[in-house]
Formats: sequence, structure tokens, C-alpha cells
Amino acid sequence: MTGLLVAVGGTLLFAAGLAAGRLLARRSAEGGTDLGSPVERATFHTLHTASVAAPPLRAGLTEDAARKAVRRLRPLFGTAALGLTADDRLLAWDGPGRHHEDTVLDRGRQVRDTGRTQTFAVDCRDPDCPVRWGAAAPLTVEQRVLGALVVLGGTESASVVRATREVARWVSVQLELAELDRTRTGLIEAEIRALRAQISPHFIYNSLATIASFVRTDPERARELLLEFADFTRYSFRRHGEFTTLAEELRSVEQFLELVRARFGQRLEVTLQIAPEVLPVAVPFLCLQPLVENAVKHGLEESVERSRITISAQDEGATARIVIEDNGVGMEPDRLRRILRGEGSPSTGIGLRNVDERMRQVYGDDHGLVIETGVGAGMKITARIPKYRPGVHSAPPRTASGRG
Amino acid sequence: MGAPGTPRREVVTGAPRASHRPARPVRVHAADPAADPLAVQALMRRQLRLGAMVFGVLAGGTGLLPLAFSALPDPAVRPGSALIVWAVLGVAVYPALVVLGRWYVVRAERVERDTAADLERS
Amino acid sequence: MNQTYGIVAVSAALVATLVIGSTGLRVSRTTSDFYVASRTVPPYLNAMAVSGEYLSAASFLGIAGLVAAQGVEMLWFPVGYAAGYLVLLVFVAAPLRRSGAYTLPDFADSRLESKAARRVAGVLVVGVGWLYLLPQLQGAGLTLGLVTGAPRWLGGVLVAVVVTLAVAAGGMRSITFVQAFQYCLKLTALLVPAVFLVIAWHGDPHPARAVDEPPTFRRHTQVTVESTVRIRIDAPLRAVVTGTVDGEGHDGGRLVLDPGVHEVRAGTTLRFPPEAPVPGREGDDVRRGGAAGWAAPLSGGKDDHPLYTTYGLICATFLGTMGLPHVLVRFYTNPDGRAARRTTVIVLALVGGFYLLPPLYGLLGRLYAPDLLLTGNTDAAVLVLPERLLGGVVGDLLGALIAAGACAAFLSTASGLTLSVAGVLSQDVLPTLGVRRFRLATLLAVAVPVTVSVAASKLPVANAVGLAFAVAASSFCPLLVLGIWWRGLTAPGAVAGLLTGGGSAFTAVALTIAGPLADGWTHTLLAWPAVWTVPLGFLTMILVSLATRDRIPAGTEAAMARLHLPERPAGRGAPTTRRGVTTP
Repeated sequence: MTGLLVAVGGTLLFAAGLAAGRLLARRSAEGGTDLGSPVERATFHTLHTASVAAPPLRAGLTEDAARKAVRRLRPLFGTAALGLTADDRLLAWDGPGRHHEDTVLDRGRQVRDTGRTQTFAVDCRDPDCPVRWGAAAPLTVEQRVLGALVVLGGTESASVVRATREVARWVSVQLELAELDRTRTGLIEAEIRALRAQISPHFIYNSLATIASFVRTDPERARELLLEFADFTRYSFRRHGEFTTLAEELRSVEQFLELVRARFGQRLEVTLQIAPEVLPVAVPFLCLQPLVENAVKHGLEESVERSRITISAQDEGATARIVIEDNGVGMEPDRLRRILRGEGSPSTGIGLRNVDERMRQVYGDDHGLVIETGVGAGMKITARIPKYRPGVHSAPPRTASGRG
Repeated sequence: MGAPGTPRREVVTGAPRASHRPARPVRVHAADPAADPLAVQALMRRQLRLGAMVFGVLAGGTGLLPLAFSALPDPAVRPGSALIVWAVLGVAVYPALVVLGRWYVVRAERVERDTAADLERS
Repeated sequence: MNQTYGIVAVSAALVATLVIGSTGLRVSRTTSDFYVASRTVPPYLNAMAVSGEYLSAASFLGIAGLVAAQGVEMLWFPVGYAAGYLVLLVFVAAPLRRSGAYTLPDFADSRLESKAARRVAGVLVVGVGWLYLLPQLQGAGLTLGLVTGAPRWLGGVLVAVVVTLAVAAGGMRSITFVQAFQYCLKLTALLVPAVFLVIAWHGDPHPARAVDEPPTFRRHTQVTVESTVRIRIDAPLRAVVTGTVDGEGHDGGRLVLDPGVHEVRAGTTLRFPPEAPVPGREGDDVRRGGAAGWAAPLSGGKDDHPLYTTYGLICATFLGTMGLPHVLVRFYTNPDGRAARRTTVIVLALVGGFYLLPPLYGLLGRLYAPDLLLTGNTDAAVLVLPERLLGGVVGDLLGALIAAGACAAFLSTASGLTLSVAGVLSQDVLPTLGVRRFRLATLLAVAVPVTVSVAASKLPVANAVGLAFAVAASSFCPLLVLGIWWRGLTAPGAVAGLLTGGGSAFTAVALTIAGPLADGWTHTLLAWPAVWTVPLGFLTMILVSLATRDRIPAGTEAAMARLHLPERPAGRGAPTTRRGVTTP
């Protein structure tokens, strides 16, 4: 008895889960119940079909996309079959009469060559075959014919021809949008790549000059600094991966500071407070070094006697909070605002703006830099980095780049 | 920072990005050229086999224990049998688990090293 | 128990925790130890932190209590708690770390690219977290009640307030050091008294009775029954009674209880002579099979189907560990997948080492604190043993140490759970609460289990934990195992499986706690749901995924490569020369 009860309960639960899954699989395609006049209903129906067919096409003209689109578009025509061709290939076919593939491909080729819609009769020996006639319309993206939409049916009909042409045009628009999407994604990628911070030529020059000054007086130290410099530049110039770990980023900051210290000696005092939990967090490549460089510049190069810099990384549950604080000359808040908006003179604060922009780009506007400063009040820069964000990984798993 | 004489600081943030496109919608699916799908598949299969083996030993070992215990003679008759249960469940299980786990780690790392070497070579 | 010592010890544990929590950051002032400060957490330290967070009130108090009350069968609990890490090791540890996910919803999101799956996983994390918080708060009430004499509910509420404040204020700045310290504290707090107890046990002038004889009172023992119980007596038993037995009032009069079942009203005090057998609680059929029932497996227990019960327990604990939200977030601290694996093995050793101790306390508790069997308050066995067995200043000091350890147990687990639940609540379940949402979420994360624990304080600590494991095993185990090892998993499949597996386990848990079904197969099936809910979860996930094959995420291949390929070895891509290392 109880076994039965449990079996029934289990089955019910199972069915419930299944239903939930299906529901999710197909976001309900039901419309409202009260839709007014038949014309309105038809309009709605058409629009709805189109909107359902659009998403797959936005991925571009692939076999998978074509299959889904054709299946969803066929109800618009009410004819026997619908096909999509491109590059001398049949991408998708929905409905009977698949044995006319060759005819359809042939027509597709003609459409591609002429760029015009055409109708054609289909010769079939099978008396049960519903396909007697067809229309093919070109799919054009940027004045180039990519393929053809082919509609097959029983009897010739002018309205079907027109519908074919219109639907083909609509599909073309979707494909153009897909092209646009791709371009935009590429643009974002390029933008991020362009935004990758670069170490300043001044720094390279200064470091080499400092090392040179040690060559005679303290060759051992010069050698060490040179190795440090080599490591630092190797890290900064690396090509792969937009992201790295906080641990690696901190190591690079360490080398940077070592080189700076060689130049300024005891005038620079750095305190580091690190919660070790946040060291594996993925961060945008070279996002700390520009901030530290900024702090060093404010502290040392602009007159302060003894410069104190505190770098801290704290664990805040789902985010890591990184704070870089200096006791340097600080900055006029309005000037900083202009710099962050990209209106300042190109030479100053470019690092700050760059990091701010990349943070916003990657994690959203909630994660831009928060800077507290005033003239003569030092500067405190806070960055909050989420421990997880889709698509953000510290490095590709493994590259056979032959390093090491 | 509230020391007297310290000039006041003001909070400054950058302007929100002009376009309201979602932050980094791009999930880069570009497969890593070095991550040959076949190699990944082979690695997965080896690791899964290894994991399943350890799990099998665990399930077989501990899963059969309750049955084995129920087959032990009644402690009222043979008091020693209760002691066996205590010794096994109370003590012996734990070192066995650690040894099994350690063995798995050594093997799994070997599999990974092999794969890494193969990828490097190709 | 000496209250002064106890309060001092518990306060000391609290203060030490807060001090380590607020100063445990690695600080360096010269660049020469910069490198040390930015080194990632080594596996042994992280393993201690994981163990510290994992060993909860259920491990510290509950196992000994269950063993004392129900016998050797209950040893499966610690075995399962430890073995769960082996399953986690072989199927989950390294790939999960490589996924870059911080929480379980993160994993669902990264693997399935679905907000819906993320949400559902979030809701389940909250459910499991709440179920697991419940026994922590009860353990807190019990411990603080014994130490300070405060009522049960007050301790739970107090701990809830402390945890809420600590979490909401961000008081745990270096959680790894805190939790590692908590592990050491817990281990010490059980190990040191255990040594003394064993010595005292051996030196006992009355030779200890064999394990498989019925428990008896060793001296004049006074027992106050807190809630009405029905006791079963096998032979006539003399006792001095103040209160109500079988409906008749007594005031310090001698009474001979005949064999059979008697009802003892709440508040009644019974005083038993030495050598008197301890009456059993009706319904707790532990001693049904005589004394042997306690020592031998499968003959006792609360349930009618001991073999099934055992498998239910094994299934839930083996597969549930991987789905505990507060444990998984600790794995993020590992620098890579290899370190995650090594950490897990060390956790296995640390946790296993710890679990050698509670059964000993259970055994001694049955011999030296048999009155707890009568009152049903067996979770207190660990706490009262030093006083019973050793007495004097030594007993008080060791009792205080144990109280401090228990305090560490429920504080560490409760704060870890609260942090996880609040994080998920604020990020995935209630994303529209605005800026102050994390504090609100923390409040909510604690308020719900506190309310329930005040309302339903009768659930044995380890049992409630078992139920949390069952829900985790039926929902997250399929998600993690299939997500990591099967390319065919789809978001609808995962959602359906999470809802079906987790939902059915949850329903079973709710029915068990609400308690409309007292016994029979239905009760057994509901009380130990993992045996049927885990396969149900797996099956649903697989079948629905197969039915929605066109929704396999586009990034599956890339995700699989990331999950399984080893990371670049440390040092590649990173600087290879170090200061002080004279590379030629």
C-alpha cells in the first residue's frame, strides 16, 4: 500500500519536473485569448511567427539556424514544403518532397546568379507527391546573394510568390542583423584589446637609467634589477589572455615597486595587506599596476617627503575588494572627473581612466573605480571585483605556445 | 584619515558607459586551439574511469558492510562480533578512505601529466 | 558543570575567533616579504579551514549523542560524513575549481549558460543552508544552556545574533585562518579530555560494564524530566519521586515501578539507586532486542527497517557532501585544480582523524551518563562527561574546554552557512533589494532557521543534518556530476532534475519534521529519502536533457576543456626568476 503511494508520488513529481523542463524548453508560445478582428489576429499570428523564427537566424546562416527557422516559418505559407539553400547546399528542408532536392538546388543557383525571384514547375512521377510547383527568392546581405528561400506547393499562386519574396527579404534583414552582431562583438573584443593597459615608455626609460647607474657601483644589484625588469616586461608584454589572477598581478606589482625603489630608495614605504582567499580571483590583465604607478607618481614625483602606499585586498564573500591608498598630493576632484570622462589632457591619469573603463566594460557600471581624493589629501582607489562572472577566466586552460 | 588639518576628500567615480549594452555579453566560445576536443574527450574518459573505479571500491566496500554486519552472529551468542563492527566502523574505515583518496590523486595527476605532455608535443 | 569556567572558556573561544578574524590578514611592510604576503593558501591550511567549517555541532555533539542513545548503527553517520569527501574528490573537486565558480549557482550559470538554472540552484542552496543551520542553532542552545543555565531557545537566538552581526559587519576578514583555528580548537577540545577520560575509565574502581550489557546507574542519580515521557521498565524498579508518575502526584515518596510502561510528567524528578537499570523511553525502541541491540548493528534504531535506513544514510551522506554550499565556496581559495584535489585528501585525513573521537564519547556517555537516555537529552553527553567521570577542578576545566570546542563548532559552521546563504539570497533570489541587500539578506538567512528552531526544538541534531544532506544529495549531486562529466546536460534538464530531486527530498523532509506519519514504511521512506530521491534526480535530469537535445549550450565543448584540462603549471607565464635565486 505504502509502496504504491510512494510510487504514485514519485511519478507525479517526475511528471511535474518534466513539465517544468518542457515549459522552460519552449517559452510558452501561447498568445492571449481575446485578439479582436480576424485581420488583427492574422497580423498577430504573422508577427508572432516571425518573432519566433528570428532568434535562430540571428546566429547567421548556419545549418542549425536554417533548420529551426524553416520549421518555424512554414506555417506562414500553408504550402507543402519549405527549403533554404546556400553555397550550392541545401541547408534545411521542412515538409515532404525532399526528393526534389536537386531541382531546388538548381533553382537556388539560378537565383544566386540572377539575384531575382523566380517560379518554376516541378515534374514529379510520384502521384502522391504534393509538390508540383515552386518559388525561389534570393537572400541578400550587403548586396550579395547568400542563398535562396524556396517554397514548394501544389498549385501556382501569385500571393505565395509575393509572400516568398517578402519573407526572403525579412530573412535577409535578420541575416544582416546577425552580421552586424558579429561585427559588434568583434568591435567589443577589439576595444578590450585596445584598452589593455600598456606600461609607460617613461617607466622603461627610467628603469633602464637606474639600472645603468648601478652597473659600475653595484654590479650584483644591477644584475638583480635587470632580471626583475626582464620578468616585469615579459609579464606586461604577454599576448595571450585578457585576464590573469590577482596573485600574478600582485607579483608584477612587486617587481614594479622593486624597480621604483631602486630609484627612490627609502622615500617609498609600501604596506601590503592581503587576504589570501582572494589571490585566485580572476582580474583584468594589468589592472593593478597602473593604479600603483599612479600612487607612486603622486607620492614621489610630485614632492611629498616620504611616500606611504597601502595596497590591500580583502575578501567580501562574492567579491574581492582592492584598495590602493597613498598620502601623495591628491587631485582636484573635478579634474579627476574630467580625466575619467576622457576629457583631460591625454598625458595625465590615462592609466586610471583605462582601468576604470575596462572594469566597467567587463563587470558593468556597478564595478567602476571609486576614488576618494582632494588637493593635498592623498588618494584612495577602491575596486570591487566579483569572484565569478560568466566568461571571465584567468587564463585559457593550456596553450601550446612553447613557452618555458 | 580624520586627522585635523588633513584636507577633505571627495568621492569621484567615472561616468557610466554611454551605451547601455550589458557588461560583457560575450562568452567567448572560441575553442582554445591547443585544446583538441579529441584530447579532452580522451582525458575525460580516463579520469571518469579512474573516478568510477575509486567510487566503485568505496560503494562496494562500504555498501556491502551493512549486509555483512547483518550476517554476523548475534552478539548475544558471540560477543566478539560486536567488537568487529566497532573496529571497522569506528576506526578502520578512516585510514582506508585516506589511502584510497591518496591513490586516486596520484593516478589522476599522472593522467593529467600525460595529457599535458601529449598536447605539448602536438 | 562549573558555570564560571564554562563562560570564560566560551568567551575565550569567541574572542580568539574575532581577533584572528580581524588581524589574520597577511601584512608586509617591506618588499622583501611581499612575495610571502601574496602567496596563495597552501592545501594543508585550506584543508584545515574546510574541516573547521565542516565539523559542525552535529559532529561535535550529535554523533556521540546518537551513539549513546542508539548504538553502533549510528557510526555510519561519521563514516558517511568523511566518505562524502572521497566522492567529492573523485568527481567534483578539481573540475569545480577549474570552472571558476564561487558558488553552486555560479557553477550552474557557467556550465549551462542559463539564468533559470542559476536561480533554481540558488533557491536550493538557501533551502539546504537553512536545513543545516537549524541543528547548529539547536546545538548552540543546548551548549549555552548547559554552560550558563539559560533556556534552550535563548542560546540559539544569541548565537544567531552574534553570527548575523559578524557576517553583516564583514567581521570575518580572513576566514581561512579563522576556520583553520576552529578546526584546531575542536580537535583539541575533544582530544585532550578524551585522554583524561580514557585514563579515568581504566582506573575506575567499579570495572566498567561490557559494552553489550544494559546501561545502569552507577551511583545515586537524580533525573529531572523536562518534557513528558513514557518509560518502559523490564523489572521492578525503586525510585524516589517528586512530581507526577502515571497521573499520581508524589512528593519525595519512594515508589516501586512495576514492569510495563509508565508516564512521567514534565518537571518530575526521579532519584534512582546505584545499580538500577536505566529505564528506556517508549518509542525509542533501542533496547527492544535487549542489550545486544545497542552494540550490534541493524537490531535497533528508531526505525522499523534498519537495513534500508542504513542505506538511506549512506546514500545521503556520501553524495550530499558535494552539495553543501559552505564547503564548496572554500574550494575557490585553492589556486588551481591540482591544489583542490590535494586539499580534499587532506580534509579526508583531518575529518577522519576527528571522527575517531565522538564514538568514544558516545560509549562513555552510555556508561557514565545514562540518565540522559531517560531524558532523551543525549546530545549533551559530550558536555557532561568530564564532570561525571573526573569531577573536581580537572573535570570542570575539561568541561569548559569541551564547551569552547562546541562553541567553535556551531559558530564556524553557522557563520559559514549564513555567509553562503546570504550571498546567494542577495545575488540570485532577491536581486532587487538595492544596495543594503546583503545585510537584509543576512538577517533573513538567520531569521528563518531561528524561528523554526525555537518552534521545533525536538529534532535530534544529527538527524536534521541528515535531512540537509539528503536534499543536497538529490539536487546538487546530479547537477555537479552530470554537469562535469556529461556533455549532453541541458538547462531545462538541470532545472527539471533539481526541482524533482531536490523538491521531492524537501517534501519528504518537511513531512518528516511536521510528523503526520509516525511509523511504517511510508515514514521510513520519507525519513531517509535519499535512496529514492537521488536516482529520481539523476533520471529526470538525464531524460529531460535527452528530450531537449537542441538546447545543449553552445559553449559546452569549451567548458569541458576548461573543466578537465590541467592549468598551465605554476610559474609559466609568471615570472620565472626570483630575487635571491641566483639563476646562472
